Amino acid sequence: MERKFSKNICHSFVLAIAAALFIALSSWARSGERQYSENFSRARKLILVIIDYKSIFCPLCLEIFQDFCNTLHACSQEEFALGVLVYQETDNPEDRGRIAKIVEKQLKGLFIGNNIRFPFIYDKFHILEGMDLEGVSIILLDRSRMLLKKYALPLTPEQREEVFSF
Amino acid sequence: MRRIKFLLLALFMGISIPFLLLWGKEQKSISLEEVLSIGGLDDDVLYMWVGVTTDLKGNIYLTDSMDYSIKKFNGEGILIKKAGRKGQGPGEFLAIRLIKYFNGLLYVTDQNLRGIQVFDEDLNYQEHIPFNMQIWDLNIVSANKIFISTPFLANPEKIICVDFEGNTRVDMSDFDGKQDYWMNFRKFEIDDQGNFYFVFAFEDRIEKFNKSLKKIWSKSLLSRKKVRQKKAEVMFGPSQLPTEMVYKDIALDSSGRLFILGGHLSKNPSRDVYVLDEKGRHLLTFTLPEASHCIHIDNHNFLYSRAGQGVTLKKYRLKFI
Repeated sequence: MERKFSKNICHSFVLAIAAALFIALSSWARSGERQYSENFSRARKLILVIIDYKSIFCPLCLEIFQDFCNTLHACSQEEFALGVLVYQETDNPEDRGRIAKIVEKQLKGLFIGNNIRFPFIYDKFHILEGMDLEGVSIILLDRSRMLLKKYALPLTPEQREEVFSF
Repeated sequence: MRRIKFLLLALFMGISIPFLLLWGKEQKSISLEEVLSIGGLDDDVLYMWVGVTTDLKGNIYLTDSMDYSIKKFNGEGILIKKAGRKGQGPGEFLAIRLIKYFNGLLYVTDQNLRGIQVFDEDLNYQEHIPFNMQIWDLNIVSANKIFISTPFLANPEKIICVDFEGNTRVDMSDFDGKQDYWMNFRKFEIDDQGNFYFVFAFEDRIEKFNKSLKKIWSKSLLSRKKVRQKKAEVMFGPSQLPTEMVYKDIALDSSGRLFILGGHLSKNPSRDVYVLDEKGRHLLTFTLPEASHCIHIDNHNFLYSRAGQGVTLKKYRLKFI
């Protein structure tokens, strides 16, 4: 009887710990999301980093991209950045979902390998097609300066000043 | 008499034709039985593998160009260890490429870093072999003897042999006379007798040389000989760049058969594998289920190739039909 009682207590304890952990983790995740949105609204700035899928096979493009990401990190502006992956759709409609997943996975590996911390999404609906985006491009939305500009990497010193300053 | 002759001829043909047909059918095709698949769309195992090799225990080693790593898998396809990161120091990579296993060591190349990095079977960095040219392919034949194929323009050597300190042991430069940069891109294999088998990346040419570098045979397999080229504005080097590859890789099985992966000129681009015997006779062609940039055959004659644009490695049992 006593043994059963202690077993029940142990079971409840484990459940309570698991629940507490779950609540803590979900609130941490929510606070992370909130922080990200707060940063956007506070700074009124968004740096869209648009990466053409083909450029991930070009060592020079990667080097330039990496340099840009390092500067973002050094200027503590990673939190305003959002990566957008653009890629050419395959002709075969049956392959589309699979290719999108492959492309997404490869970019994820590239971000891990290069220690890039900002999130990325991929241009699933190809809304950026036809924008003459080659290699890595930047779209800067800065409400405080009423600025909406597009840049191609590598940036000139003047462009760097524009992109990284508040 | 004439009737007897006719009957004998008919009898002979009746017996011999089925034999001829059967003989003709011998090894007409290869069926691939998938025995292992590593990496999928929803895991974080492989992002884009580029080089593959195997050891004698059945472990598989892959280089992954996306996260700059070497990954070791056991025979069941379980990731055992991962090493490497982005950088230019020991055990670091910028554009990791080939990996070759020989005698307990792994030899790894990088497109943007000169030389060869050596690791042990547990992926611990051991040493750096200096080599001041771009490496297109390499084969290690004995301790302290590495053969390297290089396309480097300023140095027209096509295959050279270096020791582990990077000193050139045997200079086999330019032994067939051509000095065109793009024609120097070739993969090669070396058999047990020391014969070299070459496949050219931008030319329909497969060649065998003996160990004294005397040409034994030269072979073409495809109807279209020339690859498409485009004009490129480059500061140095050629202004015409090939945009197609004829042959992508070569592998030898334990019976000495050559397996050659066709490129863009093949009927099924990057999927057709041509099988030749040691005399250069074309035995058969089979097709991989998915496009691959390379093939590897281990000591048990299992074939490895790419799937899912590098997020998956497939291992196949080859069945001659």
